[in-house]
Amino acid sequence: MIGGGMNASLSPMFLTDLAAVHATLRPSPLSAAFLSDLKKVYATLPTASDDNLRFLANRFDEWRRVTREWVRARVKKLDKDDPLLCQISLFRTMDSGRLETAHTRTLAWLLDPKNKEHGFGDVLLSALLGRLADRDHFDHLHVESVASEYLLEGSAGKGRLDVLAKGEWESMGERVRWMLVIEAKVDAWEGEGQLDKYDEWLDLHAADRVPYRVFLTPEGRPPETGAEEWEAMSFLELVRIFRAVYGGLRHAPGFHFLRFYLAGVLQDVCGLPRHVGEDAADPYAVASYLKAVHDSHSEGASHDAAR
Amino acid sequence: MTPLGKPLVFYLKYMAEMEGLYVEGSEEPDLTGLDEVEHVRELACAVGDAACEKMADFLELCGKGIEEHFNGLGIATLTNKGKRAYLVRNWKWEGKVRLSSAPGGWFDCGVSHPVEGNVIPWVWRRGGRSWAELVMKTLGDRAYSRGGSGVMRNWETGSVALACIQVLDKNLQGFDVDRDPLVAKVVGAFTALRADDVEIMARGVGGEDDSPEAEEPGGPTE
Repeated sequence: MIGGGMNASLSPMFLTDLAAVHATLRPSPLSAAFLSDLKKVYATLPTASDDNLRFLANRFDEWRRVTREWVRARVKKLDKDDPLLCQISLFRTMDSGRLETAHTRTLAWLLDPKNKEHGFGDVLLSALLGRLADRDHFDHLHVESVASEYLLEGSAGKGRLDVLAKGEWESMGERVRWMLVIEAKVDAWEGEGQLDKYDEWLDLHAADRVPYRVFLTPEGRPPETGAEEWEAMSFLELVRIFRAVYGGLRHAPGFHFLRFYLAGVLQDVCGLPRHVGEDAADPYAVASYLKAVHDSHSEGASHDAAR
Repeated sequence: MTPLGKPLVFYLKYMAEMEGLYVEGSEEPDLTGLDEVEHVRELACAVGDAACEKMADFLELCGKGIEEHFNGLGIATLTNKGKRAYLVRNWKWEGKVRLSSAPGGWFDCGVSHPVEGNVIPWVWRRGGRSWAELVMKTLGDRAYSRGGSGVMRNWETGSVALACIQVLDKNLQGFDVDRDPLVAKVVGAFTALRADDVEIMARGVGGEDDSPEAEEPGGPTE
């Protein structure tokens, strides 16, 4: 019996032996020399003394000044309609900055080239697929459908795919039939076996296609369920992908909608400040975003030009 | 005056820098402009560790006052409180208010991790926007803001801030802040909830799954 109560049938000899063995399990007392050495080492560890706080404050002040200067110089180079400079969040106007369904429905709307309202054609979808398929560009992109909240039924039960798109692309002589599935989580976690359920459905319905599975979250965390093929993507990464082709959409009817949407994602989902000016509480996050966007913008420029 | 603790005040004053250097798993910022990086990192760890203890002291005091209030109403009990190790690690206090008269009557309450230099006493219950609207209507000017807007723009829909309590004055020189009035303000945001408010809030809007188990509490989602 392990961890149970006392058994009355145990012999005194057994108990004596048990006590003797137990005594050997106790750690021997720490030696005076060890304790003395430990004290000496402890005394050398830094503390949160007034002097140390002042030293750190000086270092941090200078670090912040240098970073703010860098941000200020970089922000000056941004176009005036850059989402980072936009203070209007599309969904925050309705207190829904992090409302998952608002994000996924909008995402499906933006990605759908058959939607003539925004006038983006397949530019955003192509940018996203290009990133997933590791292609600079597609010679031809045919889109059969883009749907949001796609209801599916399988042996494991019902579910809804946040975004489902399918079609065919051609690049450098290669022709691929594809299916894109996006499952987004803003403040929630996956349901029990949620992605497994989607995988099962994909196995049945996308057997002749290359499936691109995207698990979209604020921090880009990996999913807890589902096949290894699910690609963890952060909303910031999504912004970077769209940002790379953003400039080319300036004259489309949906441009400002996209601008407000991306500004909202940056502020409400990714936590970037509404004001990126002098008093931004976290200039380091702004600097990090600007560096990443600059990189992806450079890549995007070639991608755009190739189209 | 009881000091909030210089390491904690320092941490809050230099939150972006401290989070970047001290918090495990956070993306390290670009260190350009920061001299003596390794020494600074060592000191930041020492200050961060001390700040965690001071934050837990503060939250424990807030939690004690909140618990006394809800238990004192005589219609509810406060359960599922985090232990000190949780407060040290997460910088937030949470509890569950359970209505004694109705098994399905509950809501979560808590004190947030500092947001933009403010601590936010909050309540949350399953029921999303409808529940938040019920709380806003019930409490009137005793509620501050709903999740998804203002200082709570990164919060889950369905959470309601009872107040937004500034910890640091923008022009604060040095690292001395009195803890007592801050604790009083946090606890005061909850003592403003009367028994009839608690009953309405705990009963929810109806129609939702009333199980309080296995729920992710509300609050900031950083």
